[in-house]
Amino acid sequence: MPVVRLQSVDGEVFPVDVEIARMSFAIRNMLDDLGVQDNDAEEVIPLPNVTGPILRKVIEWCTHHKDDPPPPEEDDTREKRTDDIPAWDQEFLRVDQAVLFDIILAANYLDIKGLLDVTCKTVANMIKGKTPEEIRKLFNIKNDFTPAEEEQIRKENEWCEEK
Amino acid sequence: METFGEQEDGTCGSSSIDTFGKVPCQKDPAPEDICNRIMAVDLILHSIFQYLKGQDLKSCSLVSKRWARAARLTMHKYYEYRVDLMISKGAESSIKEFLKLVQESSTTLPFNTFSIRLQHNIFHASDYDNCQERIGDYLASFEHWDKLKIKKLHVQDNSIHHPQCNLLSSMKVMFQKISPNLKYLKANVRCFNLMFKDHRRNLVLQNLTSLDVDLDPNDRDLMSFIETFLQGGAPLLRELLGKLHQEFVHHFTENDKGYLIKNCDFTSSLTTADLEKIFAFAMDPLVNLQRFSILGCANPTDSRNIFEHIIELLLNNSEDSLREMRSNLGIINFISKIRTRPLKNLERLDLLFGKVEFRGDGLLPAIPFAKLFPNLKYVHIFDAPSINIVDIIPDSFLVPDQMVTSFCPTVEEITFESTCESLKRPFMYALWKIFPNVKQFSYVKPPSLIFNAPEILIRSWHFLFTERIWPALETVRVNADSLEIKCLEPYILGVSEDEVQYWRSGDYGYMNMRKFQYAPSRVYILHRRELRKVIFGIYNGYEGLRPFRYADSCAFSRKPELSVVIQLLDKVQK
Repeated sequence: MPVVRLQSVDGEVFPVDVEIARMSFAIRNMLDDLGVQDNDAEEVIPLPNVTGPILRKVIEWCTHHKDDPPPPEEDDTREKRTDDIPAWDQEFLRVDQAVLFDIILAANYLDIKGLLDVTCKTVANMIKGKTPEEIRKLFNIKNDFTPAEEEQIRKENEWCEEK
Repeated sequence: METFGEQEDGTCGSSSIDTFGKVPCQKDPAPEDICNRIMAVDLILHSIFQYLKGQDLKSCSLVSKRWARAARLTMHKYYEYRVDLMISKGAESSIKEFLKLVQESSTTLPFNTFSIRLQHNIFHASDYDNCQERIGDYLASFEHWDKLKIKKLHVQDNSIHHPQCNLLSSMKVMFQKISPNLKYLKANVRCFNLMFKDHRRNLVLQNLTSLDVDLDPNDRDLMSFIETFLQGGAPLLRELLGKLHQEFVHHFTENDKGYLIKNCDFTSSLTTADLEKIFAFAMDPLVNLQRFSILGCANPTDSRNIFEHIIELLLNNSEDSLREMRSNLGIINFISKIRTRPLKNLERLDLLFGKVEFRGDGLLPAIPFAKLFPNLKYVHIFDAPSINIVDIIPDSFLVPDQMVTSFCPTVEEITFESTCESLKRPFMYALWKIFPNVKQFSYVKPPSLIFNAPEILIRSWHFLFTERIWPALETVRVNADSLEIKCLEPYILGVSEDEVQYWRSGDYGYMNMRKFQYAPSRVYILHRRELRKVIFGIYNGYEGLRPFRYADSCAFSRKPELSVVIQLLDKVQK
């Protein structure tokens, strides 16, 4: 099978099957734009926003999901569920929070919809049922609201109802 | 914490979801990177928030400023800001507070899906006179009605006419300001009468699609006003509801005063729900229907029986009165299959060519015009097939000679409305084969509309760039802070200004441009930050255009590549 070589920001090079690499729309576009043919095995694609360990995880995910059907079209009317994360993905994402966020960023940068969806669902599950303070604590976020600003948001929220 | 730059203090390794900025660990990122990163974080937050609802989303909006901003975008999509203006003693403070909030933050809140309901409770308030007066004052002093773009108004209080109070006059002022945007109006008989008494004759609600009136059939004056209003004052009205609906309809039937709706236009796609509504509405009022219009992509597959039944019923009920029909090719084809009797009074047919599937047997010959419309005099054809397709398809394809089995000798005038003037000639020749007695053939260029979106996020174009809309785009101009789209024939697209505001609101989505089949004639990309290279054109077996998310230059190829032409011609010949 033809291979492309992906280079992480820290210089590590990963040979990856083209079909797996093309699950990333960003890489797919680069390959198309560069006019890379399937047999250009020496072509190295630099990925300046992804570190080696994260790229390894991303490739692992893509390899496992390479035969998945293409993700369905965006559909606003469809209810967004978070309880449908496959068991393998759940296990795969049982990592440090920092790593999880790195994977999200990488999925976003590389434009891998399936991975972005599943990681976002995981974070959404972490948020569910928590108070703002608990969320801040969980994700180590500083509260940068003044009391007046916070009150303003609270007021706005009072007028907000589901459509 | 609000900008990325403040967070970037050289430290790495914090695991805050608010920053995301430490990945990868870079000492001095280029400014462009920072911009992209900020956008990435907001986009990711939004991707996460779309899986949250209600209280969870509200909690997120209270975490930090960045989270508040992202949560607001999500909320805007799934939620609306709604206020119940209950005219009662207890409501006074909440109305006051609400209006204050609006006054303070009308520039930041997404108020475009905003509804106000005025409900009755007045008789439960012990000092309602004073209360009304004060509420009237609040309403009167409020300056932002026209900015709010209120779409729904629900007025249901018999007491607003109290002679001593200023509520009614404030409400009239309010109504005049909000009426251009109003899509839904619900009012009981007294409110309706009182609010509109003074300017009945001039009442025009150009965006109203739904009117829910509990009317008094004994009030002849009011009823005749409603009838007149329905015929001219609410051109987009699609839904008429009301408690006294049966009597309402009956009233007109009994008195032989004509029927409610003379023109029935469905300019957007008909869904099963729409069809059921029409069906529930009963066909009686359509007996005098003179113009019937269905555009968009009516899709009979999901509810074929209902669809057939309703179109048949509708045409049966109005076949004597129907003079004009406006429809797409698919529906005309469909009607020709289900109709056995002619629509003998139909004189004008507006035919939309949108979303046409090209098959080897041409486009028009299959329709038995003469049989279906024996007195047809005028045909208006608009949104002809895409230039790309016609460029590569021989004229005879539109109406192959051997396929023409039905002539329509009565038509004397044809207007051809298209984005592309060069189509005039091939169409003229093609149409003469079916309408041999045409004496006048004119070409008109469709009206243009420019949408300006003040806030454009790269991933928000999903809605714009769908198959449905792409063919009718004339120009797309992307600035650093705006997206300008020149769109031809908005009515063909079923696009209303409101939908555009919705896009404007930053509706994220994965940009999926792979399905596009057509290209606009001009594209301007002036966005410096995200776009690096744009390649418009056709690739990959005519599948579509490439995403231009990271583009900073633009190349545009209009002609399809030769291999594509060959493929298409192959398909045609098969």
